[in-house]
Amino acid sequence: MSAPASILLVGLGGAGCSMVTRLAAQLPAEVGVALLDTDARSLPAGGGTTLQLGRAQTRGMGTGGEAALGQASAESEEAALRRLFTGVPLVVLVTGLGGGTGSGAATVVAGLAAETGATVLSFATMPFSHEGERRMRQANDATVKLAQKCHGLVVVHNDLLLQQVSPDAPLSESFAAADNWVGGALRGLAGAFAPGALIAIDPAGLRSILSTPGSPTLFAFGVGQGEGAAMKAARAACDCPLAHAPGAVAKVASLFVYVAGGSAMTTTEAFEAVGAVRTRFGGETSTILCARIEASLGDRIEVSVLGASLPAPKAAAKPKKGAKAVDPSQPIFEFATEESMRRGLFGGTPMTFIEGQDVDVPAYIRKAVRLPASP
Amino acid sequence: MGLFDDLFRKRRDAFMGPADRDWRALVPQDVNRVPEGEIGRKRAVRSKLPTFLAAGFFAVLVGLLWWAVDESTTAAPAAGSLRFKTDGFLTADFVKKVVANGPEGFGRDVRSIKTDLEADNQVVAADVRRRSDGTLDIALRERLAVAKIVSLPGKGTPMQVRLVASDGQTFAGAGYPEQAVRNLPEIQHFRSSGSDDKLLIEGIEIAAPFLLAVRTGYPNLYKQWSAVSLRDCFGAQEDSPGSNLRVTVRPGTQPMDRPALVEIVFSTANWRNELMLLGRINVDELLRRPGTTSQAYVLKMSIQNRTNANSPVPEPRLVPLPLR
Amino acid sequence: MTSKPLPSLIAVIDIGTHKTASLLGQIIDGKARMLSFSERRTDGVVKGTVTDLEKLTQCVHEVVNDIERGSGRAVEQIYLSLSGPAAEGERVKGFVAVPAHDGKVTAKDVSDAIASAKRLEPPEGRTTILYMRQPTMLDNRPVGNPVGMAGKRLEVTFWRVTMEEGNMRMRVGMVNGMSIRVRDFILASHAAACATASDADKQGGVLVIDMGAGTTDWILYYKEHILCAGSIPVGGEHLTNDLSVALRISRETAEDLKLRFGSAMHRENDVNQTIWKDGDKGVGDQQFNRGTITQVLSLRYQETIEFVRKDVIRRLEAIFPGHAVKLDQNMIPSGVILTGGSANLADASEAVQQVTGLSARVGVPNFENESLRKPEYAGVVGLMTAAITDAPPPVRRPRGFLAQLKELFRL
Repeated sequence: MSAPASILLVGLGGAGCSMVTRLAAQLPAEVGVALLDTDARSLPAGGGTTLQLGRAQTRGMGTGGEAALGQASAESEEAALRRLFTGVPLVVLVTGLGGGTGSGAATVVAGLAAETGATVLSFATMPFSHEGERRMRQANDATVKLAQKCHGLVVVHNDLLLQQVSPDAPLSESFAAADNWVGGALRGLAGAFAPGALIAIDPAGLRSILSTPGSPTLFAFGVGQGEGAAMKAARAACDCPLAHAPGAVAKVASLFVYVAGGSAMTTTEAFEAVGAVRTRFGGETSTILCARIEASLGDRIEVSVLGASLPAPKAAAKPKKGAKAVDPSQPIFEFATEESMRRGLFGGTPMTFIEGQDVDVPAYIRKAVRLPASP
Repeated sequence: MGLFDDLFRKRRDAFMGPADRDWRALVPQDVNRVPEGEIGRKRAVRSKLPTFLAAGFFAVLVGLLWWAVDESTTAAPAAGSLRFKTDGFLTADFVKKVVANGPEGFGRDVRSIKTDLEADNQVVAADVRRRSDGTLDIALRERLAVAKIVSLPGKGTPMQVRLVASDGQTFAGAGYPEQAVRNLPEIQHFRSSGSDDKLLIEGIEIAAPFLLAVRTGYPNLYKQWSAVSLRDCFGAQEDSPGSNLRVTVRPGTQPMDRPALVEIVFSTANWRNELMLLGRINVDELLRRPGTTSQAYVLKMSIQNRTNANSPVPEPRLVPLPLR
Repeated sequence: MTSKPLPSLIAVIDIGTHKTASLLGQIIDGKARMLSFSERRTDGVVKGTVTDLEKLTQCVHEVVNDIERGSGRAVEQIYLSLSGPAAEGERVKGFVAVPAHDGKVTAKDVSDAIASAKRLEPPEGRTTILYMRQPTMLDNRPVGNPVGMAGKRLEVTFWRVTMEEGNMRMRVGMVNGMSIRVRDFILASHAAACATASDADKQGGVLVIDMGAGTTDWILYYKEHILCAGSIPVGGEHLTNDLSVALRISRETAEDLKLRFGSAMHRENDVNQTIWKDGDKGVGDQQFNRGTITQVLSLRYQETIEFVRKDVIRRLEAIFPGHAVKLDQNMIPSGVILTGGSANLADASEAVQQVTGLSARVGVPNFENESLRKPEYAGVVGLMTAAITDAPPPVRRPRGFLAQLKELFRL
């Protein structure tokens, strides 16, 4: 009897499905794959589990950017989705927000997965600044809702991706960067569940980190090579643009660090790397380390960091007179990703659009200008 | 802006054009001036007028309540203290007895106390107040006694003395000292009806004012009179000849070296003038004139108005009292 | 019995995103003499809009108290500055046909035309705040004073500024709550121009850009009248924020670095410079590449100026439909005057020159008191200048006893 996969990687929507398809080849066996979409064309026939959402609503032609339609489509397949998620301990949802399926269905799918008892970790991409106001707004709304349903939510900004590659690189290269990150995360998670690690962990411990829905999630990924690869990888992880944000998300209470290296890697190196990561990211409450040897890596060392910040008991700001009372079950998720990461101080204020761009987002991000490296 | 303008100001929703939408039209800025002393400090300034009005209103309200409470019934009975004054002779005990007479005792309604007090003939008016601490404040005005009557209700019972006031009412005379009672002239030979407080003496309507007039106007004479007899008093009828008041003079008040004046007779119709005349007559000199040989005389003051040439108006004359 | 008029007091207050400044002056011989000045950090305003009214009221309260204490006079009337996207401006026109029999324009014609211009309703939910005179046209020729001139059609134009009613009520109510009357609103960009641009500038044509912390207000003058004005909701705070996000540092550190090492122009050479945050190489000090700083700041600054430029063109095209508008030195001989706190950024004028193609200089307010001759005070100083010329306060007379008694009891 084949046990259900310990991790289920779910691609939702056009962008999500393409990313998952690209990754599927490199994934360890423990990771199962499922593709969900309203657009029938993105679901390849044969191979892997696919589910077409909203057959009645969209007739296989996609939602056309309507989040409401996406949501309805997902709700119509509730039973099938539940079957899909039953018995899976960890569900990783990959989706691109801004369009209809991604923005609308993601919340429903995540919610259902959570109800079946799985821990849900989401990777969601935010549209480029130049894709326009409407998609940005839709994506923003979706993030908020999704954050409440998932145990962990990592938001990847497409604008940031552009920064990672040289200005004249083709777009596919920047997507490759995103793939890199998500892939690294998946490898780390899979590695936690698979036996035979150099330093092993209890999978339940991992889940305990991501236990509270709506808490802000931190994700970082770094690669180092050659001499001192571990430290390089750690530093790369610290500098990872996904993780930088002024404010609360800089330090998290619980960390999961996954270090993978070639056969030359030693435990000491792994600990060094973790130490560096901890200095940067916190992890006072608990840090879980998993280290693994992957021969295929050679002299590369990969460090992926997943962290969750449990809401601090210190009093959150008293709700101002007339402001809606802050629901205690939704802790400080306004620190989650989107706002503080990109808009910095203006997180929480209404978005200001000039010529379709949110001008609160730093100019260099919107113009995709690569900054000189720090000394 | 006057009341007229206020009432008939154009309404905002009626289209008036941009004048309506100008910000100044929308927000009438009505602010009070900050007094010089408030510079740099708390700036909210309020008009004083409402405070004054409110204070005045409450002062008036409190005053009203105070006044009303004085008349009210609901004060708790305190130690039963009593403050009492009178212009006559009644004692506090008497008042206390009256006050405490009743189921509520001292806590009685002020009005009923007053009624009970005034029920006694001796009290003309009673002013009863209750203070906030429960003390009763009673001020009485009593009837002034001008005479007394002595009666023997029956065999074996002691003599009953009642005092007569100037309006004819009789009363028991509680609290009167012995001396005062003795000095009062006695009304004798009277016909009466009723008894006690309702005693009605025939002719008292003449005698009492007469005595009051004497008491107030001619106190020296009053002191010398011991009794007034009403046997010839037929009432206040002007044309009742012979109706008179016979006043008995105390013998002990006169000098020994001349005949004594034992009685003065006044007519009921004309006693005021006669009193005036008496005030001018030197009785002592009259009695010492040669020719007064009798031992006792009666002074007839009654001026009877019989004017005709044949019978000249008799002057007051001294009539010797026949020896008996 | 007329008592001698007392010198009038003018109190102005400029509520900005970063600071609130207030000036109290006295009009002597037609000029303003400063009596006291006060400045505080603004609490409760983000990007030019009020987010926390209580905090803002508290702040304004303190500022007014300060100037009262400083001068020993009570403030009864005050002028407020109007800035940011809240103040929408547009042109309103009114015209009148000059009666044929005479052909000459009379004062009545002029007032009729003005009335017809002001009859136009402001948009729904907004209330008119200001009317600013624009050139009068007689038979499509701009004229100064048309009275007595011959012509057929007289057209008067105003630049009308409107504000949302709720917003206006909030501001006026806040001031009224301190027992102060709002004498008038004054457009912030116009105030900045009054402080920094000379009459000659305004006559020839000048674009004044007041870049504050929360917003950038601009105003274009031509032939001494305002031609158009606008506002971009981007300001110095965005510069700081960009730097803070890029370098992953706190806001305060970013502000400090911006002031010390920031520049509106990015030069190749910058990349080679390394700077230390604290400068003392102590523990916890961080290194930064100057190139990063200048890159981030220049991108943002130049983008903002570009927004302004596009806004100017857009509005001009709305005013002169059918014409392609080109912004060049011919049109605006005096070029750009930069002012406001963010004009302190190094190489700002050069950046503006590069983006707009016009000559640019940093404008400093013209004021007797030297400490206020800085771009960030252009707003508050300009308010006073504009107040005197545009809407002088009424002449004060000392109050009689009866009047004082009435005042005491006024409900």
